[in-house]
Amino acid sequence: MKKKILLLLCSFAVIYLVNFTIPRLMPGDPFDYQSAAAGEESSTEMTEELKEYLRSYYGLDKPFFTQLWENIKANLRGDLGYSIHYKKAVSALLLERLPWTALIMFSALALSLILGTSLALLGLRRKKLEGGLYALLSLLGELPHFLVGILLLFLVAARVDWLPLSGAVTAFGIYYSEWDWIEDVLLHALLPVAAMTLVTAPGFYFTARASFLSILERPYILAAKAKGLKEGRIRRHYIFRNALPPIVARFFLSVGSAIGGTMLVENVFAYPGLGTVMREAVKYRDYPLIQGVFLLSTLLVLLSLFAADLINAAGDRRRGESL
Amino acid sequence: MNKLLEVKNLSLSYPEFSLHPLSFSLDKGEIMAVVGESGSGKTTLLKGLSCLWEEGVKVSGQVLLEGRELLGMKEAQRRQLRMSSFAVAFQNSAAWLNPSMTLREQLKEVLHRGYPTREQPGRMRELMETVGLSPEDLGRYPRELSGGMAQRFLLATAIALEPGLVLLDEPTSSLDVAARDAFAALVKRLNREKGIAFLIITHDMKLAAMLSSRMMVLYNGHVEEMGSTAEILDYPRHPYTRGLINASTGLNIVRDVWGIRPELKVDKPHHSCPFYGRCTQSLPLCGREAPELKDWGDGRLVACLRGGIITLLEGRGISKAYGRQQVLEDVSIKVRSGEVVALVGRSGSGKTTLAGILGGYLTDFEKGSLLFQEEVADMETLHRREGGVQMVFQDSETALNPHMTVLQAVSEPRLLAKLGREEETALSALADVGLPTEESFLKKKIKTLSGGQKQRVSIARALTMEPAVLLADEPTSMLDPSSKANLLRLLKSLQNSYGFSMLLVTHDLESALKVADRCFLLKDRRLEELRISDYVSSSIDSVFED
Repeated sequence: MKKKILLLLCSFAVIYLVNFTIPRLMPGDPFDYQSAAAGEESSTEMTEELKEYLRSYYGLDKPFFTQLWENIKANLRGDLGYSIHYKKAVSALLLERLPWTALIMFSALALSLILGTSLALLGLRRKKLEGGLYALLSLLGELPHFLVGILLLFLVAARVDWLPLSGAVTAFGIYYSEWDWIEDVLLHALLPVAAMTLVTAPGFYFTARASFLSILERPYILAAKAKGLKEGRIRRHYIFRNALPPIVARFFLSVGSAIGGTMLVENVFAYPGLGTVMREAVKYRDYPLIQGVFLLSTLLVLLSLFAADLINAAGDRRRGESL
Repeated sequence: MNKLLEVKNLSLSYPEFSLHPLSFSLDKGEIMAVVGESGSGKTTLLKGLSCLWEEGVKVSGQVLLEGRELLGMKEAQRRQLRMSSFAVAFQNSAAWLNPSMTLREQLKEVLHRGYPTREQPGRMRELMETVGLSPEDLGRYPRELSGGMAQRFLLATAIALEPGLVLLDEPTSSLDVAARDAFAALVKRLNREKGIAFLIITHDMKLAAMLSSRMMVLYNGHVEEMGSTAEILDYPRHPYTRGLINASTGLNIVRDVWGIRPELKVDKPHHSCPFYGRCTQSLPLCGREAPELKDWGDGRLVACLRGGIITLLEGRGISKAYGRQQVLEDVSIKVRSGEVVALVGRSGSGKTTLAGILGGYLTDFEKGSLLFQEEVADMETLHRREGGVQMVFQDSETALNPHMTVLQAVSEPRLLAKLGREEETALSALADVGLPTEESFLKKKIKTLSGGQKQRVSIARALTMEPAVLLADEPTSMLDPSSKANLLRLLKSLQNSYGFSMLLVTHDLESALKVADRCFLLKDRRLEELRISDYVSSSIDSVFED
């Protein structure tokens, strides 16, 4: 366990360093883009003196390691910096956007878990169905999230009028009750979540299927039959209960790819989550914001991986396979 | 109508294995053992009896439990009988228990079918105590159990509803002797007190010997022998059964154990006797025809075309005198196929004389007859053919021509018998006895060899004739302790792999008891069979006891 925590901390340190370095390796800096380069949004041209002034104001003229050190110190205080583009504290901005991303991501993961597991259960009982299902899901699981999002946008949303094309809520919407608002939010989340689920569910299907199949071969399933237990009871208490840990672990293992996927899908649907913020931040070389987004997702992913590890270890312990 | 279980022509076929039709019955309160090596079909039989076969298995025949046919029954109906009329306790491993349920939950699943909720806790305590577990263990998960505890709990579950029949699958395979003995005692008690019949599937001959009154021997999906356990252990009729007994460390605590030789023929004919390739007495006929299990007259069922282990060499009522001194008087001895018989006696007791007569080298005895495979033996011919009788003499110094080369000496017997392939068989025989086969060694003169080497050359000479019976007269008397041990092991291993029978004549009682399956003592002109177990036995069962 100690080893796992140490590994986690090391991974975090490496990623933190990379997060800090990568944006600074990109050509240009925030002020080039604030002035002319992003011409369509701003017509003001900054003078070199002004740029120099702003660089020293944000501390970007200091040596790399000084910047890094100051950054660490600030981060430890909980200060993620100030977004140069949005002119807002990065932490406030992230807190504002995170719930939307979390909504999409966790809904999609939860739905994928339920859908994938149900399909795997169905496949166990209907062997004929399983062949087709396996092929279809193998294909779906390989598609990129955003592509599925775009396809849904074109093939579904554009053809029906009750599905919104973008955003998280109706712009300037007027709600008569909280339920109205919730309905609006769910309707907007529907397609992004669907796009994510279509791609993520196959993974859960394969994990669940493998887990079920391996449990089915365990001696205690035969023993359960020999005990004269009813099939429903065997399915619930012998198969499902023992097959669950790897499926739940998969949930946490999937957070990594799901964060990335959600950010891309958000851009497809112009959904106001971390993904859209991230795109803007990269576009304008908004170093503190880029770092903030990365830091947040890094934390999320590492913590979920750790949770998955814990669940797997607990499952192994229960089966008496480790320790 | 005392029959509890009646099995009629039960057979299961998998694509790669089939359990051939077998029939047997089990009385109420009886304990029967099914023994055999791994892959003999024991577990398949268990699956058949308990109706737990996998999909795609072809099952035929009938299994009647108290007159009700199980195989054709719907599973919903069968479920009512499970645990209440017959139960299965699987191998002693927690893998047979649901890892995410406590023992209490798992026992409750069964108990609720027979006991109202308020009586269950009391019954659980009673069951746990019966099998020697503590009621506190009920709160444990399977991972917290040792193999022995898991076995006991599985048995507690199996007897929870007091079924008339409990099938035990390899109940003691990974238990130590103390745990095994305790388990056997428990099974005996349950059998006596509750009248539960047990069918025990095991490869442990000792366990079968301890518990069962009848025994069934399975090999490669065929029943090879069936009968009373005591009689089978005393006198196995099938070569396979004998092999199992000889290989059992539990039954041979002091004696050396030897496994049955592995299959020699890779492409076994399809319709052959299943034991054909490993048998020590197979005929060409055995490769063409599979034997039926039948009663050969004494109530024992044996599946062997030759009626079980045959007697290869027999001396009947032999008497011999040198002048006025009577050496042997009415001596009878049998050497069966594939066994090592030791003939022991003090120096000068007449062992060598008897060996000479049995080997066909001393032909002028007064009374008695020699039989080979139950017909009057023509020793001249038997010396000169493959599958006959060969002898290794006591004194290899004089038995070998000192001026011959090794190759000449070893190829001589086949040359004289005009059998051909002299050099080829000589080389393989030399390799088998652990001598070099290089040109330089083959060209060595016999007189330059050491005593041990000469003894090995003598054995190699005999082996080239592929004898059915090998007589070895004091083969180790001239050797130092280490060479003696090596030669004894060599002889026994050659016997085990070639499958010939060996008559070992020696004054060295200690060595004889190490390798012999049966032992005869020549004393005062007469022969007496010694029960080896009376001399070579020891109990180790108490070593692990607390």
